[in-house]
Amino acid sequence: MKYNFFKIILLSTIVTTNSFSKEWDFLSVNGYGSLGLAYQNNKDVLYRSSLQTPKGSAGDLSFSNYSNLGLQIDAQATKDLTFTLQGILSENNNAEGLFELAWANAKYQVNNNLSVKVGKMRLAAFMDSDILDVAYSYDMVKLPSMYSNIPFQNYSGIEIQHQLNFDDISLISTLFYGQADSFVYNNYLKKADISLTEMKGVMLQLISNNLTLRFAFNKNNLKINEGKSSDEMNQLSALNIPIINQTLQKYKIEQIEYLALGGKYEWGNSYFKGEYIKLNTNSFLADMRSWYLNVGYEFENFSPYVLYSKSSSKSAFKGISIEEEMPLALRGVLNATNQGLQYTYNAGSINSEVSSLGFRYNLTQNSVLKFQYDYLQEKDLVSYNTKELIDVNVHVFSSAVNFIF
Amino acid sequence: MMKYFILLLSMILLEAKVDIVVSPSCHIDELSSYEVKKLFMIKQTVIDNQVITVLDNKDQNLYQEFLKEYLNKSPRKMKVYWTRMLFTGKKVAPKKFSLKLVNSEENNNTCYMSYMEAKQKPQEWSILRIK
Repeated sequence: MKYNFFKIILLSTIVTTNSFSKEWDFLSVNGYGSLGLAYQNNKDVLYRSSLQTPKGSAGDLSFSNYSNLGLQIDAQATKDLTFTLQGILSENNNAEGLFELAWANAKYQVNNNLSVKVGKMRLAAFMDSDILDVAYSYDMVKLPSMYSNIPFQNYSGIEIQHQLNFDDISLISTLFYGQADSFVYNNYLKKADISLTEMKGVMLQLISNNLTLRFAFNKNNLKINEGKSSDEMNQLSALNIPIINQTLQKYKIEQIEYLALGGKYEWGNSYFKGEYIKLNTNSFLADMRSWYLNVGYEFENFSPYVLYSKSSSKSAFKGISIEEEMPLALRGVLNATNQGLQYTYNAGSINSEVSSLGFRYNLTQNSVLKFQYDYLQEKDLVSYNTKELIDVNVHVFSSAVNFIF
Repeated sequence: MMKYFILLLSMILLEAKVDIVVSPSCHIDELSSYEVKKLFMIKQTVIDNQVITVLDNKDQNLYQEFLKEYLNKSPRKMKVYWTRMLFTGKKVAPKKFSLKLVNSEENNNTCYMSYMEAKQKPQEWSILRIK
């Protein structure tokens, strides 16, 4: 909360600017929001919408999952230079409190095809990542699980985008470099601070009349600090036992990288969409594979859809083998090390299948009503109550009103 | 049967023909339908080294007709497109056409492009041929 003063100034600036923007032609103020609720009936499961929150539905009704309010100011300083500020109030933020400054950047349009952005931006890991909070712009109440399993949503840095236009085809290439500070509440709902440096990424997007194809690759240096368990690992390392130090060194958390592929095809009023991600850490943290398929149809004001998504985790880490002939004290320490590493794996692993059915209904030009039913099957989930690993089947009912203004 | 025929005929006759029009500062006679689409979605802003400022029509029926004929999009899809562009800081939707805007002195040399029925076209503006 060290930037509270700045945030208050920013929020009041957004509000006061709104009243002047009609007279100042170079400024525009726009906003969006959602009022949503989620319900599932299993008290052993915490159904949440992001890793950045310990709140959600645990066998009860939750307003935390989807509700948010965002405001954006765009200022056209010159013909080629624009500034964008976007603040969001939400429980699912990548910030300590309710308020998050999600976008704060300057964009310079070098020419018709090339632009450079500097400042704070959304990390566009997936096709809809950069409009994750603007639920008005997509059909689902909640985007597929892969969207909420990325532990970082923003970065500060530089982004260069180039667009190549052919007749009815555009090829958009984006390169970025930056850094980010984030946090997650892991599966045990323990908070872990995450620091990413030297974030390097490339995105390629091919857009034709009906087809969009997307490729993204991102590699970052990673540091995680999860209080007690990080301290325990440091203590084990301090014992100077070669087999432990070799293991800790071999599976040290140093880097995280992902490869994401996506595609969307529209024909008439129908669309077919799918995405895939492979997220690796080369450490004892869980690696993740996740994909989904989504089909929808647009009637005049009513758009039903179905969705299937699957996420699974595995680790390169194998526990240290403990031999009978080892001294008892050493076996105890090795056991503790294996348990510690297993805890770290469990804390971040995910093995789920979700089948979803839902619809969007246009209430007015600027507001929509949505409903979604999810049948969620999870394996080796950390129980919300007992903290044991359990297998569960959960029925989730979600609804939201999304609007823009 | 005759009743339905008359109804159908009147619907066809009532459907506005939407033309693409440009202000006198524009040195363009014709465009391809791809170029029209890209200009009005602001994926492209320059044609033959000339910067073009597109303007939407305030008339909702005409807007829908234009979307159907030239952009092959529903109003909802366009709304979503501009929402996405706006909240990702990429671009904002075109301003609405008004005589006050296009006739203002500071915009005298701007090349404006819009769409309207031929009878609504300002006198000095010209209708583009679409290839």
